[in-house]
This record gives sequence, C-alpha cells and structure tokens, in this order.
Amino acid sequence: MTKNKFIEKIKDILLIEGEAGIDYFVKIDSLASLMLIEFFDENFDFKLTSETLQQIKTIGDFVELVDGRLQ
Amino acid sequence: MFGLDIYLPDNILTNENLKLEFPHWDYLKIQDKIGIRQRHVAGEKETALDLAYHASKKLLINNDQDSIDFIILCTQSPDYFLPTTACILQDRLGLPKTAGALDFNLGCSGFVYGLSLAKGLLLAGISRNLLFVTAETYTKHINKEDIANRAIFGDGATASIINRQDSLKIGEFTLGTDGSGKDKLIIQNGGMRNAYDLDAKKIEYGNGNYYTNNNLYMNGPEIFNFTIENVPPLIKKNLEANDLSINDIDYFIFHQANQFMLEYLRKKIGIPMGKFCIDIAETGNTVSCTIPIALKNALDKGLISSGNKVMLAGFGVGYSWGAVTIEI
Repeated sequence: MTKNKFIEKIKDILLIEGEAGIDYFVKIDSLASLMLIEFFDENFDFKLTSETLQQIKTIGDFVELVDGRLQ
Repeated sequence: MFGLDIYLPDNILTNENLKLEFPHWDYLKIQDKIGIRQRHVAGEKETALDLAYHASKKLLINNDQDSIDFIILCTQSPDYFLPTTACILQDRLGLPKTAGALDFNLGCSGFVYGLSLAKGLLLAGISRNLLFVTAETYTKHINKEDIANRAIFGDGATASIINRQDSLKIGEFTLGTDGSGKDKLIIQNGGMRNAYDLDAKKIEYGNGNYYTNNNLYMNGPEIFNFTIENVPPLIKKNLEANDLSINDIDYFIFHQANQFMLEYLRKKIGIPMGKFCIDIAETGNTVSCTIPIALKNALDKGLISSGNKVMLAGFGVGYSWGAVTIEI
C-alpha cells in the first residue's frame, strides 16, 4: 500500500474531509477504533491495541506504526 | 431439536430515543456499522428472574413440567448474591422439589457452556429432562451517560428443555479461558473485593462516554482484538473435533456482539454470507441470550430445519469462549 493511499484510508475511517497532512490531530471514537483495528489486522497483520490507540495524536502517528511497510 | 423459547421485556429503546438524549450522537452511522436499531430494556422493577420466569412459562405450556428434574440458569445480573436465581425460579414455576438447580456466572459464552453442562448431566444419567435458562439485564449495569454501551446491550431471557435424546444431537465442544482479560469487561465494585461505592467518581472513556466503577466497563478495542485472535482458531478446532469442514456446516450462529465484528470474523474465517447469522437489529447484544434468540428466530424463519448441522460459538467476558456443533 502506498503512503498516500494509507493516509486516505485513515482519513476515511476518521471521517476527515479535505486537506489533512501527517500533522493533523485526530479524534478516535469507539466505532473508529474497531474500524482501525480491522484495517491494521487485514492489511498489515498488525495488532492495534487500545494502549497504542490512546497514544495516537496525529495521522503521522498511524504512519509510524507501519512506515517500513508503506511504499 | 430441543424445545426453545424466548422472552423480551416490553420496553423498547430505539436509536431515535437515544438520539433525543444524546443530540450529537450519529445514530445512522452506528446503525449502519453496528447493525442495531433497537433493544429491549427491562423495567426498573423487572429482573433477570422475571424474564427467566416468562421465558420458561412460555415453553412449559407445551411440556410436562413435572418431568423437569434439573434447572441450570446462566446470568450475570442475578436478583441476589444468594440464593441462586435457579432456586427461586424452581419455586415460582412450581417445578418439582426433587429437581436439582444451580446458577452459573458467564456472559457471552454462557449458552455454549450451558449446553456442555446439560449434555454432561444428561449423559451421566443425573438428569433426564433439564430446563436450561439464560437471563440477562445488563442494561441495569450500564451508566446512563455511557452511550457506547447503551447502544449495544439489551435485555432478554431464553429457556430450553433438553432431554437425553436431544443431548445425542449435541456434538463435541471446544472451550477456552483466559482470565488475564478480566479487566477488559468488568464491573469493579459491588462484590467482595470492592464494595459498591456511593461516591464513585465519573470516568470518561472513548469519546464522551462516562461510567463509574459501580457500572459495567468494556474496553471495546481489546475485546475486538481478543475475538480476532481467538475465534478463528476456535472455529477451526471445533470443526476438527467434530470431523467436519466449513462446507459440512449448514449455518453458523455466533454470539451476536455487533454486526461489524461479526462481518469481520465471517470474512476472516471464510464462511459464506448465506450460512452466517446476523440477527442483532431488533434486540442488540443480549449477552448469553444472543445465540438462543438467533437460533429460535432462524428456526421460525425456516433458515434451518431438521437434520441441519449448526455451529454455535460464544465469546466474551472472562475472557471465556466456546463452540459446539449441534444437529437440528
């Protein structure tokens, strides 16, 4: 998956419209948490824990979790 | 198939009702993803015992109640610490005093575990005709300001009458437990470890949900991770235990936690959509009652019929999980 596609998918899950770069601050509700867990498990076989979710502040924090695996 | 009936409280809480209390709540998004339109909620004075009584009464109308020689009842919202709800139910239903009766405390895996206890009692000759009840009023555990859990959980009860002949159609079980997950779905206060605290402080979680330690707390992300890790191998192991493949199973009924989780599990395990039960819209997550409610509805709608093989799988609080394959 390309980095741009990854960011678009995160924006899609978090219902972020318009321009939003890696510094964009995110708000994660309970439904978005489940959707993010599914997305990371399905695409990266990555377990996104509630602890990790609590530490995430920006879109860039999501990118860092799987950076080495993005094109 | 063994006798089965259900009872749901009269009070219905719709998403529109919740929206009036929480104007900023995006209920259409929740409805679309979580799949719940409404849930039944027990009245203020209506308890799990009351629901259990009504479910049992409906079923006993067409059965010889004097032949019931054992009652097992699954609940996590009992009327009292003691005595057990099953003992009081025996008296209220007028069942024989020669019947054994016990409660067991499990949540979403409770129906599968109850079937395992029933099968054991019947095959050991301890019981010949057994009443197995699931009854829950989880909504009483939830803080009024906890919209996430109020949107998910509903109340209900189910009753099954199982005899020795029926028990022969209950196949092999696969069970599991991991108590390290105890904090992920818990009511901290009110037991012997932590007393009920009248001054318990309000805690925020997620995005604007509130609870106190007197209420039910559920860590949704961790529960989801637990199911992703444990349910696919559970299904594989139960197929192996019963010497079956996915193609041999006519219908899969999992604990109806929420539609989003169920859909992902279905895809991950590779179960065709037409063989997979999603029946949560009208009743929500009724904990140990979801599987028997879905089973009854599937029978009534003709989705399953005599001779079909149905796999049941429950998973949740504990953590606890279990699966069994039954023949209808």
